[in-house]
Amino acid sequence: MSSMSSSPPPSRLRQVAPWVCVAGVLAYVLVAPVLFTATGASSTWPAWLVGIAAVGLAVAAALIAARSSRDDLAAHEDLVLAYRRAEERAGAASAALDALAKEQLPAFLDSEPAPPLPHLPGDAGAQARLDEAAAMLARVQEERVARRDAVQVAVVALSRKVQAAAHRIQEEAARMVQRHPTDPDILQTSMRVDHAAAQQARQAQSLAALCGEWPGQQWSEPLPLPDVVKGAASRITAFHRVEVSGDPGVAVSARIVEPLIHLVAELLSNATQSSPPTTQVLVSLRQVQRGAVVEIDDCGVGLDLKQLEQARDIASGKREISITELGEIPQTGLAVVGTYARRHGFRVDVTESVYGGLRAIVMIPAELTEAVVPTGMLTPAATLPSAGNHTSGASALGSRRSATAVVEAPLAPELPSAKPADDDEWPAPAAPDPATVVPVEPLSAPGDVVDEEEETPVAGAPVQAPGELPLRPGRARPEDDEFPEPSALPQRRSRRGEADTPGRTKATEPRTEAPGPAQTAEEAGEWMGAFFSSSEARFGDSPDSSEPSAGAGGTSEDR
Amino acid sequence: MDTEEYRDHPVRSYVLTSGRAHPSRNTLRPETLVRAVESRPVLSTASRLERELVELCRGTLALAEVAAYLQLPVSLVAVMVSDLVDSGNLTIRSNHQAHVLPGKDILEKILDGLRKL
Repeated sequence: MSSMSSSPPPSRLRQVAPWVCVAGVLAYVLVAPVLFTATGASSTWPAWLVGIAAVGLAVAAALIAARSSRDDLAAHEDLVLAYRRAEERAGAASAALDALAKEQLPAFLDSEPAPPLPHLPGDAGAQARLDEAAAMLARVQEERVARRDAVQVAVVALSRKVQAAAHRIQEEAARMVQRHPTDPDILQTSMRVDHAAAQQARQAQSLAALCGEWPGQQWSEPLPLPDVVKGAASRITAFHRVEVSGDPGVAVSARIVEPLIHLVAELLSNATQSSPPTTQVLVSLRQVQRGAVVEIDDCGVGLDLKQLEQARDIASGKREISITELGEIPQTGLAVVGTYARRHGFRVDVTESVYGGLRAIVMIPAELTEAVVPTGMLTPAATLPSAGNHTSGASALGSRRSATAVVEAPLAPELPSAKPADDDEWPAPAAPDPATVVPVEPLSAPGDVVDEEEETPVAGAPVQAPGELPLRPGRARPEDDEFPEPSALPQRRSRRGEADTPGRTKATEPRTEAPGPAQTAEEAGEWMGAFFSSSEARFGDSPDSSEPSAGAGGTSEDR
Repeated sequence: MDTEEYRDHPVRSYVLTSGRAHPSRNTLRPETLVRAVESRPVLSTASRLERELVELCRGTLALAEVAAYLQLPVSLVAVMVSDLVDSGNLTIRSNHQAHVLPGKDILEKILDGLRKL
């Protein structure tokens, strides 16, 4: 700045000096002939005078020009220096800007600690502004963290409320069954309500878990591993597709019962959602040296390598996913799994399954497990607890089902019509029942039918194929698959009453409609029904025979 | 209204019976007596609860009693007992009342009388 202020005078002088010089010479050239002719050759002094003046003028001008150019050179050097300094400052400022834009801001967006901003020593003003910007950034960051915490607190509080409401619904459903302890229709309704509420509670609990909170539900007692898996299956939509095998005689500590149930439920939910609805999700349980292992295999198509890698990182807890970066809903499951894995030390891995889909493996460390006394004649290697029994055709339970298929052979064609009920998991409740069951239950038949299904289980087994096969096409939709049983199974007791003995219907109806006050009347009605139906069963074949003491028939039926 | 304590359990009822609420046989009533078939071993596929149920019935128990011991609804236990009867692990004891059953015609007369009330 200082050098710039001194530069204008020399430069003006420098511009003027050559012209002064030229003007001097020109003036002499013009003036000399006039002087020579005017004065004549006699006196030459005026010419000399003018010549000297012109030369003196030119010399003076040259001197001035030389001096001013010297000044100018110094000014030029000053300028170059100033330019260099300005360039340096600009470079530093630009570097600082780069750091701000390329490091600080992205780090700020990712909520990660950023490297400190560079200093600008030569430029106090810019430094001050940079500091101001950095301070502002830090403040915004703090505010953002505070706001996120507030949102999380709100989300947790709300999810707790939703979960509590879901548990209240479950409790009410259970109480409803307690009030009508013998009514299967009430039980059916209660099951549906319970199932829906259980899923709701799980979703709410997922939210809380992703916010880093403990599950809202806690259990006070250790739970055997098969029950953990069944408890987990209780919370997913397609619970009937879960097939558990193996009972290693291991229970998990009360403290981690709920986290583990929730974790397994999320894995089961993923498995059922990512595999065809007609396939089972196979869960095998085993004890290993370092704890207990739950393996969940689905028969889907699996994931490609990159997705698998991502899924593995998330599920194992290596990569943390907070509620703010969830994205799509399907990602909640693995994120919840990872959260629990990190917190409780479960080891979770996701690999390709030998069945073609995915295999999720959960290892529960030995310190979180307890031994349980095996009940009955428990043969750990061969046990196949019954969560999925209804579809495992080889099991005895399957053949039991097939025995009922004998009874229901005429119904089979009607089943598909009951299936596509728009109700999600549960078949259309009561509507198909009277229609399907009544024709099968002639008054005279029951005794024979019951005998047949009990005493010819072998004959029943082959019938399973025709009885079961029509069910398969109906399973195209996953939702239809869930509660196929009620419509497929006979409800002989009540339906027969409706169809055949109107008197008895009157006796049983108050039981469902006015349970509280009509308690004694209800019991009386039940007893009456019991007498009546047993006499029916016994003497149905020969209605004329009213001999009451023929107890032998009853024993054979009640085998 | 409910005096009974509500007891929550991680394993819900619909998982115990694969979603069935209606027993496979119609002869089960709360007072029906059931008894384990000693000669028949429990299947390896049976769950803990089913084993427990069969154990309970080593002595003859009424269905309602079984339900009370297991702390489960009678209607739910009916489904499970029914399944176990089907698999041959339980047997239904004929009601003692069977021996003093009045004739069908008498019952019908009573019903007619009741209807007229």
